[in-house]
Amino acid sequence: MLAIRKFLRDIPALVGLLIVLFVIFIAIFGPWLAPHPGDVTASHLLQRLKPPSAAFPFGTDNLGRDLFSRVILGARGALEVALLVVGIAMTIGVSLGLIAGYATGWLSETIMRVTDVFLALPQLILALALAQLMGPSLQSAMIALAATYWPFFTRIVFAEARRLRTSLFIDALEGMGAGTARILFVHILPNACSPIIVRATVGLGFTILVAATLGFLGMGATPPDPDWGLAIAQSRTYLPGAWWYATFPGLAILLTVLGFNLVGDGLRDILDPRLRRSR
Amino acid sequence: MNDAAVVLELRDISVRLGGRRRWLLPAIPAFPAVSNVNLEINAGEILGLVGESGCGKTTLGRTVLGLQRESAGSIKLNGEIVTGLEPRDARRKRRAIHYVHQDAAAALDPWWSVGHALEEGLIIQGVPHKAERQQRMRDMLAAVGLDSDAAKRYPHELSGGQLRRIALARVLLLRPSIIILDEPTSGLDMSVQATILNLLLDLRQRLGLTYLFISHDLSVVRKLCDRVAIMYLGRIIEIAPAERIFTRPLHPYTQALLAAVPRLEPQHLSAPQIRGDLPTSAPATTGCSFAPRCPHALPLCAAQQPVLEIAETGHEIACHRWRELAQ
Amino acid sequence: MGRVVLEVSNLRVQIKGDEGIARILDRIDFRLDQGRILGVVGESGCGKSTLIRTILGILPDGASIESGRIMFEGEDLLAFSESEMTRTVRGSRIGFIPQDPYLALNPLFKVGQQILEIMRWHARPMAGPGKPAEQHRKHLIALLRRVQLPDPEGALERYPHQFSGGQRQRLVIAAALACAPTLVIADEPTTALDVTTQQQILYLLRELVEEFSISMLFVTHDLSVVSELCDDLCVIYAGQSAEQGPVRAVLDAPEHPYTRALLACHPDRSSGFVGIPGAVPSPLRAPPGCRFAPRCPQAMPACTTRIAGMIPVADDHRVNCLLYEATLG
Repeated sequence: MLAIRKFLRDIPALVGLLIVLFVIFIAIFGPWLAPHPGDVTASHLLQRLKPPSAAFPFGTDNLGRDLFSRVILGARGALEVALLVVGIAMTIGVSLGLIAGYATGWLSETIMRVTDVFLALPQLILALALAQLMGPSLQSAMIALAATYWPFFTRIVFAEARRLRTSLFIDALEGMGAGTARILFVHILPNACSPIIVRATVGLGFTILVAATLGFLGMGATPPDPDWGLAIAQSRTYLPGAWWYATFPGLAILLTVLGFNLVGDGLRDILDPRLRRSR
Repeated sequence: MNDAAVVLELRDISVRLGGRRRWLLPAIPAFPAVSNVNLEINAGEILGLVGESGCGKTTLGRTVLGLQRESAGSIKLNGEIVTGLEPRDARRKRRAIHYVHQDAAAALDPWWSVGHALEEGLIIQGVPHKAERQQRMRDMLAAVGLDSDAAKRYPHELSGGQLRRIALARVLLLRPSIIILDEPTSGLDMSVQATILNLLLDLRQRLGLTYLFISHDLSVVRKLCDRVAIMYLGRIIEIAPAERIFTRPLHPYTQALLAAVPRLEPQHLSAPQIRGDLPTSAPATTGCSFAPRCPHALPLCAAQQPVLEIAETGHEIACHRWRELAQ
Repeated sequence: MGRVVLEVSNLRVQIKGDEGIARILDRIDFRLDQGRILGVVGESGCGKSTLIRTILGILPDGASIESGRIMFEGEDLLAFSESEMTRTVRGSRIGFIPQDPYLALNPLFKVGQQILEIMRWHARPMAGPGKPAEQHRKHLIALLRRVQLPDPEGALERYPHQFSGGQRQRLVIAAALACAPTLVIADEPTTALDVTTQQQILYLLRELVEEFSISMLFVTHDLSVVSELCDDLCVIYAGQSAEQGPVRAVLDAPEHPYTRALLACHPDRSSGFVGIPGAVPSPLRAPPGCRFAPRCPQAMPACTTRIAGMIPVADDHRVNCLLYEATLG
């Protein structure tokens, strides 16, 4: 397909795609790839804080656990959080955006004002509040993230739906007697998917970053999860001596977020209906 | 006077657009896009609606279709009153009327193949079996002169002429009896226009269709239409059989319009007959809306709105001075 | 025959895109004489806009000029550098009237500001007292009055959306003439206008050409407009020149089969609806010889392999068709 060929010629996007596929691969096959899978829970205090070596490529942490394995195992958690948060935010956000964009009058206004309120919520503070209420955990972090991310989708979809609502082909469909559901889901949604998918891809990277931050602040993953952010938090007391303890999880976060951002950029260029071809 | 059945009857139709009440600010007045239009369309005829930009022909077309609600007046479809309804209900009652847009490409969803667009009409209508829908699609594509594998194409892969045919096919699949065609030849090369026009004539005969043909292309209108109505600033100012309008136009605006059309064998570039540009603000409510630009205007013209009167059988004109000017 | 202002010879332009190489212009050949209006007529896909862009030097990325010369007042424009074109040709020696004036004017700036900026950029010294800025302003107001724009002083302070279509077209014509060009290229300037406004604009253009001694290249698809306005006519089909000559000669005695077929489609010449069977070839898959051959009723086997080049058949009347090769002395 023309779109795929175009994507493959975009070097940064291709690099991003390879990174993302790599991370997904690791997330799925982590337990089989990690040399010391048991290091999720086990501790080997005799090996604590060893620098990178042949046996332990990323060194060990303060409990003697192989950092290489923990970074690999952390991928699964990171992706799970990202996919869940973005998935929920997208479902809520896109639906509301479609309704608000296509309807007029009080329904549309109400939805958009509610969206404005949620947009104003500070992400980290909400996470903190929920952590207080529910006890700090990955679940409270995910709720906070989803609750503050869905408005972005609503805004985008609202703009697209409003724009498409007055386009001629929607007018033609109304003339033919098409119902609202058909117009929204068969016509407006596909044509709005470009900014949605781009925002979702970038959001995946962004969510990983914020989840890591929350983990760092102690409001997300809890020990002994192999969470990247948590690892960096725990490494604080051992810096600058045990530099590997913060560096490798940090690099993992950097690489993953970069990958998603590059793919998002590449997708923006190819998600144009005019690139769809019959042959 | 032919006694074919009148399928569509418009009585005193007026459409005002754009008025808005605002909180704490003076209201924005509505613009009279169409004023006091009376029209009868007979079964099987092609009625041309001609005018320049701002004359209200597209608004009138959309009002007849039902997507634009009329502000006043009534429309009778096959004897039944179909006005006074919101767009969705109006469209349901006027299922026999369909619309082919001017911009055929923009009237198709760029995301789906044209086959999807064609089938969709049938799905909306409730044709249950895919096999039947596919068959009707294939038959219709053949009827408009397209290959059956055109259905797999996307709108941006087709030429202007092909897109017009798809738009026509989509509407015909819904089995209308009246089709409103909005500038069906605009943007088409002359070498391609002929196929569309011949197709329209052929389909009219085979399927017993009636057309409301909105266009500014006078040479096409002359050859295709049975009767022609000229619109200016929301009113019909002259209506007559096509040949008569072109050989004996009575209204000064019609005369100026016809004189302005460039010809292939001119003697010289003719000087413009009417002054000024088409007005962009609301027309005067008293008096003839053409008076400010009319070379024959008298004070009477600015004071009193002329009404359509019968000049000859089938030929109506709205002008105070047509009798004297015809000498 | 007067002085030749613009002569395009053997012009070949191609554009590389996602789907391959599109050979848009193939050996285009035509000539515009001083003080005359040349109508360039072609249907969609004939390469008209690429031709204009090539002359103005504003081709998109991926476009390359494979061969040819564009002689403007004796100099080859294709040899000019980008900065030479910008500083000395575009806007000053060659004026441009675009098809859609609404797209040509920046909606965020007042109209006077935009046009005066063009004049300032080209810094033409004007006759008369006063600072250049004032001279430009006076010159522009006089020009706006000349193009029959109502209230020229007030117009300078308004924004593009505050004018009607016909008025915007007049503004853009004034902008094209602001720096006293010798050549004006008009790209379908009346296509988007109503018929009565079109008549006014055509009449205006004719007057301006005579008054300012300009030569004009008038690109259009409408033969009737050409018949009323132009002195000479050049017909293009699918990127190839078909025929060129005085307007009445070409319209009343067309020599090229395509010109004949095109004229036969015209409502003034046919009683029913006549078209040309077949379709214009895509420039991605254009045949090597004459591109009209697949649809030509008089095509010969040689037509699919080569073209004739412009062959003179009468005074100033030239045809690119193998049927006339025998007449070459």
